[in-house]
Amino acid sequence: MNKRTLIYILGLILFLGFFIYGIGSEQKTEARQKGSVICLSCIGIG
Amino acid sequence: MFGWLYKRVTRYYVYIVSFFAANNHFSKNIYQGKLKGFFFPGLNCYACPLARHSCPLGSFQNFIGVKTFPLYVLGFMGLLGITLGRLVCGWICPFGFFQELLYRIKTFKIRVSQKYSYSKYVVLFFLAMLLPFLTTQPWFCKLCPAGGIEAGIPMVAMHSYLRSLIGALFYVKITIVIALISFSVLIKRPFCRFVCPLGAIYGIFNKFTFFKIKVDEKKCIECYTCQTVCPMDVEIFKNPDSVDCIRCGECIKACPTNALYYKYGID
Repeated sequence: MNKRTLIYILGLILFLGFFIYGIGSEQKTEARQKGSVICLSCIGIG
Repeated sequence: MFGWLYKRVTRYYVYIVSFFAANNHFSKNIYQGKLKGFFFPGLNCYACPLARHSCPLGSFQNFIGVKTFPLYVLGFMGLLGITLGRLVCGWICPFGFFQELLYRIKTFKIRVSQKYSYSKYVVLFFLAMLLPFLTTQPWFCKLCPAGGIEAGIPMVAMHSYLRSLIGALFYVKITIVIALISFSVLIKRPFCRFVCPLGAIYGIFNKFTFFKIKVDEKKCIECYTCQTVCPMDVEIFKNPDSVDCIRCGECIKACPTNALYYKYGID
């Protein structure tokens, strides 16, 4: 396994770890909560 | 008359299908179900009444605003970036599709040098990171033209209580929308090339993604056909890993010597 392959695989594992952590943590719930209320900034009035 | 549509029907079909797959909540009020916990890969405002998913860029700013490291969003964007590069922009993002359609309008065109494309990293840093961190407000969302079209105009049109809240910011946003539509008729995907912070993030991964476009230098005759057909105006034969390449494959289809090809894997 060369250095480049190792970097790619480590990167993939790192981001997969972030994502799985996010799914299992409060960040997913927070993302859902933020997305479920009318975002006044997005509409341009807040 | 519709020759251009036949040539692009596959990619345009993917744009349309992915849009309606993620935006099918036909109601006056925004969707509040479980799917809002998951992101749509492209720029798709979560305040849009049709949207069933969250916007990764909006969530990114919200997490930064509350001083939380956005692991979930970064994980999502990083996974997409490493596996697909900036392909999302070229096949899925409805706002990119919208700009491409506008550019089909027959009129004089303006070419803007690709050297200005790094301006989107300035937008990413100031509007999507620094200002949200300092003020807890999602500043890019406030000015985002995608939000103006998908959420601002329909929500204000459908809800009288929102109309009563309209202030200067709304008019600024509508001005940005009008400017963007005008520029999109004249310039190839101006928002994607010079402004979009989400594209800026995916673009970083173009150098590190498994999904690449390769150039066979023996076959390339440097005719610039690839740049002419490229929706992002990239000189792909010189820099196939450009942060602006959206992996749409238009250059591969158009190359007269078949010098360009997709490659999936590690070099």
